[in-house]
Amino acid sequence: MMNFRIIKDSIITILGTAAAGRFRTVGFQRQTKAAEEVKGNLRLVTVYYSTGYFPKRSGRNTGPVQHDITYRIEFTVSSPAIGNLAIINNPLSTPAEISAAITGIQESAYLADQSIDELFEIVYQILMDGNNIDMQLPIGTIANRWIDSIQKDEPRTRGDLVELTGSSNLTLRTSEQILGDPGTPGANIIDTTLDVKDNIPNIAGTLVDNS
Amino acid sequence: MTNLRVRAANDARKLNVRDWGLLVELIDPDGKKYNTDKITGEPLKSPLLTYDRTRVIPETGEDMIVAEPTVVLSRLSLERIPKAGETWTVRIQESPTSEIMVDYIISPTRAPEGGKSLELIKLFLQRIEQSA
Repeated sequence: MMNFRIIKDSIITILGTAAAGRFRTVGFQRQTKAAEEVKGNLRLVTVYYSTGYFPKRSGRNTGPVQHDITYRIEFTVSSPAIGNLAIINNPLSTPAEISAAITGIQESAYLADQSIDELFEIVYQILMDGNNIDMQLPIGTIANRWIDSIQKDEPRTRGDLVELTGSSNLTLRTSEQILGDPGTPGANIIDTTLDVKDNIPNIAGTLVDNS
Repeated sequence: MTNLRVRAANDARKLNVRDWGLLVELIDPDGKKYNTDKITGEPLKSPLLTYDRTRVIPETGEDMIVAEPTVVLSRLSLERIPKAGETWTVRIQESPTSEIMVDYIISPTRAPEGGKSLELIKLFLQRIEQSA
């Protein structure tokens, strides 16, 4: 397996282990995400291999080759408003108490913004932690690990929730070996029979069994 | 003064208290609760309460049902009319067949619509949950 796939799996394992119920991590691009699925601590971190560059150099036609990788990390959160409903709905509450509770309502967009900022912080601190400088792979597997940008998008109303998304790029460098494609496992039998006039079948030809 | 427009507005208000309306409670920013019709004193009801809206998924063109409640009320039924920027809580029936009331706030990002032609006001709701 090429290193870029091994590294991605390792990033997902690191994030998944450190998440501790604060967010979820998936390692592929989803077409759509329902706002309800990313509410509160269900917030979602998506990691996938985005771009890779192989600078051409002399003497590298057979590998190993340098691979400059960008992994895209996407963040999706959603939030309802929150407030002290126990006071607001209590028939014994006075109008002044209810008014104070209404004043204390925090709106969805604010909470979604807080949530995604916290998620940025958690993920950045995990991935840039000195303990993860090698992404828990053998020393020398990767170099130049760096999160070079974080971007937040516009909040969007999704039904009765507010959804907020953001993304960042994790760049690093690795070295790939070119070992050739091993093909697919299975019955590797090559059976050719030469069509020679007056030939008795299976006398001439080749039968190779690689299974 | 009575004319056709006044009659139309009053008819729209009366829809509030007909049997097919759904129960609504409003609480204004001062903590005052409104759950009765201003004129009749009957329970305040919405003649048009929608729970869902059909949206098109842009990537696939498929229709999708999105939970996006809106409440239409007659302005004539209300002692105080919600304004954009104010924080009101709104309680509506959980569903047309359930009288359990669930909580929302008027969306701070979408101003009430409606107008004065029929004295109706449409409120866009946002979900609210209990703080920890």
